[in-house]
Amino acid sequence: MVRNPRRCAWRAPVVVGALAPDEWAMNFLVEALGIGVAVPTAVSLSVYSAGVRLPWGESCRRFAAPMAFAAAYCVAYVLMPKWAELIPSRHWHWTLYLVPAAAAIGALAAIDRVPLVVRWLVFLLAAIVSAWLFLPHWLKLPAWLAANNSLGLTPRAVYVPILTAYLLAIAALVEPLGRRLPATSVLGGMALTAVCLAVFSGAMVSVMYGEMAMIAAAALVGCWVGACILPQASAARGMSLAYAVAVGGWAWIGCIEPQRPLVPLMLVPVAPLALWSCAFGRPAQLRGFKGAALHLGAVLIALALAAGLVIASSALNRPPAVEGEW
Amino acid sequence: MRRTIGCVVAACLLLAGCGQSGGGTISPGGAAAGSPSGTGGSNYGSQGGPIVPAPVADGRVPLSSGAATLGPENTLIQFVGTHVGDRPDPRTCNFQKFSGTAQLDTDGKTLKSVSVEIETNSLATFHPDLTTHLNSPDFFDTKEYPTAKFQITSISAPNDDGEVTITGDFTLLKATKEISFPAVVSVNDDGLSLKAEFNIDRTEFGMDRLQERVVNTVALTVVIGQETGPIQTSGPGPGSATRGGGPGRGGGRGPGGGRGPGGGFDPAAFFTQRDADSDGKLTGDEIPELMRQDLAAIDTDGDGAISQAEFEARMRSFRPPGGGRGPGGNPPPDNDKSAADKRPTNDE
Repeated sequence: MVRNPRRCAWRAPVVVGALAPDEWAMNFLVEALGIGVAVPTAVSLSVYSAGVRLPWGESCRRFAAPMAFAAAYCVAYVLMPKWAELIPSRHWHWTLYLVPAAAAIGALAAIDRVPLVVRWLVFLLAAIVSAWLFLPHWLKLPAWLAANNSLGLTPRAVYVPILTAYLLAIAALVEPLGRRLPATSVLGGMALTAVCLAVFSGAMVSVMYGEMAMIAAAALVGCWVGACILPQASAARGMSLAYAVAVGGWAWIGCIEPQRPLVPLMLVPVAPLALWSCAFGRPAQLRGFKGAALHLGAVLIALALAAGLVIASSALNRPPAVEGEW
Repeated sequence: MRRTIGCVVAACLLLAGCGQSGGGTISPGGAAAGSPSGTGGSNYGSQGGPIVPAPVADGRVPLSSGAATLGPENTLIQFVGTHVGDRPDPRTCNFQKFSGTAQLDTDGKTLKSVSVEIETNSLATFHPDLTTHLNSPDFFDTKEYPTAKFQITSISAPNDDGEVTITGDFTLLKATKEISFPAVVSVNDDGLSLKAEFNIDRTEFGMDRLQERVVNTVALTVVIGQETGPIQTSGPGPGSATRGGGPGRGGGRGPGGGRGPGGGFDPAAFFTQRDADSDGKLTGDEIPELMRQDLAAIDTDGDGAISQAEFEARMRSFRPPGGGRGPGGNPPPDNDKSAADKRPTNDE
């Protein structure tokens, strides 16, 4: 068994050259699959299971999934090596704080007694703050806008409203699905989408971003598995804002990172909205395997379309290979 | 139901079609002797468009009032990274945009200082996916750290072979470290030349991701206007000696470098490949990114497009007289040890 130095010296700098290549490989596996996947899945599953068993009624149980998601994300983030900084110096470091905040606020706003207008205002406020913090200092206006910028717009003035609208749309449109469809379908759709986003981020943007996005995905998978084992009708109701900030946020982070923005990546987190096609009439009443298959099938189709666009965009942005190049 | 099935089929076809277009082609014919990754063909910039090879000046960089202005037109800054394991597969990269100055001492005979500022997002490799990945936060993180700097702080007296030890501050990512390396510097009435080959440890600068895949030691080559000898090429066509043996094309250093049969850069073939609408001219997106930036100089007839003659004239302008051999190709691979390890490290 190879010893992982990060286990010995928590978040301490790794001694360069102290490990053989195969040990580095093991180290990476521990980091990516252990901390990035196993830990958040286990934590979210545990917290969810504990939350739904608490004897404080329905109002407590609806917080189980958001709290499980937030706890899993934070624990895994903190266990990551030191490049996942606790004191934010990069835009994506803010996810450590925004995700649990969104989980708590989203769960509170999803209480039935909260008027719809208030709920949406809360979502709007959270989306504005998230958009503001997710904006990196290096982001510039697109060339066509910079060339015709008669209004003197700054990148923040352009991108904050766009990102706010994006996050708000996801949160506001996913939230009612938790009331119309089984929690397992909604959480499953979220989890599949988040896994898809993490894979694309890792493969097309940065391995590091892929690992971080996978934390959110694994945390959602834990909630989904928990909801399958211990079904709770309200389990998915408070998850929409946390989902929007975590998954939508990582889509944004991955979109703007390449030299040419990978815009279709932002379509991936929208995939759960395909569940609206099943939110009325007989499809909404379906339960069990048939219901799950129908609901998740709708999400998978949307994901396939989004994935196709992401891959096509990536391929189109790539110059043609030259004969004999390699 | 039919509509749903149609959507699924369409998505699958789209995915399959896109998957086929990914990745670069691997052609052993382009590999040079002694290098498993010897490459021919054009280069790609971080902006995604193909870029032309950075010219390496023959001879020396002329001096003006005891100073020389450095840039891609007369200087090469190249690095080679290798993979961990039995197949090092060296990957050669260079920077396409940088600027700097070299200053001579008051006697006009010895080099006093050199400072260079590099635009990190101008790094170029022979594979667009690799270029994209090197730009990402996994390596150079060029969005967050758009510049790298090197400033000489001291230069030792030359030894019998004319070799000096240069010490300077190298800033990469968020770290500034002092590095020392041997270099051969020559100054005379014709100008300045410098050649240095050395290693750095990327993790010292905080570039510590993917150590299980990529060797920490990175081989750097810096050449300021050094004259190089002719290259032994066997590529097709008269245009195949475009900086052969330069970054990524050569197989090792010294005799035997150069490209293998079938390799080499063919401007005509490249032009045809870029000319998507086959109108005999490169227009719009067909024009390589870096050429687009210098379109006014290339487009001699001023029609806003690049004809094949203009394209080939541009490519010829990069070719050293007689076909030059670039300074150092890929280090020869060693199954058990990275070729980069054979170079002197900063510690050595």
